[in-house]
Amino acid sequence: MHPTCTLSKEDTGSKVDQKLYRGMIGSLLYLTASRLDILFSVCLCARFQSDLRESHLTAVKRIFRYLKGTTNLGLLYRKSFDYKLVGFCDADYAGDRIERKSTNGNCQFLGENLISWASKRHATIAISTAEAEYILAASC
Amino acid sequence: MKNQLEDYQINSNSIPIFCDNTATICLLKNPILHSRAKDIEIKHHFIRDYVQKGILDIQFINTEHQWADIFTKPLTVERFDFIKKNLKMHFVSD
Repeated sequence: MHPTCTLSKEDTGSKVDQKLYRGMIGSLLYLTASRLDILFSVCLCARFQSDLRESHLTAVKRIFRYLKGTTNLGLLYRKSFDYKLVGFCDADYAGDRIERKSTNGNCQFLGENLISWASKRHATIAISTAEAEYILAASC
Repeated sequence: MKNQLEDYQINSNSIPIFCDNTATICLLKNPILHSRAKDIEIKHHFIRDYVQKGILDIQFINTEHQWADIFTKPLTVERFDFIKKNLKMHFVSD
């Protein structure tokens, strides 16, 4: 998803079939178990399931188009004897434009291989970037 | 996750966690309660104990090398591909 692309709730576009959209989101969420690159986009699109508009469906179709172009992209696991656990965590302060909640993302490496990743919107509203990162550090 | 690794007889002390906010790192390493931090929920404060005990080691990392960026915000194509490469995502030729 491009930085200039912002999905919002106050959209006046025409309504679309909810069943189709939910089916698409469901399939994509299943895919995020192996394709971490679409995780953020899918999670963002999944938040609009209750009030659907044409622009949301276009965003989901864009994800499908990206997937079609990168079908043979996958995680590479190399043999290594290095078992050091390393974590990365990052928060996007007030990344959610509707509820002003922060988004957090974290990933863990074991040696040089990626073993775990997550993207989650906070349950509480943080008042500063430091607080957003603090909450994130506690949750990863 | 640390407990799971211990099951496989891999013991790791001080797991490094990379964070790109210096204020947070200071807040975590300093056990004094600040007035600005009083509204953070109590359940989030347990991480301080872990840092004090030395189980977790919070370190600073430049935003440039913060791979978790990909999970939090929409990125430009160049940055997206760069992070993907560093997360060991590669094209498999069939």
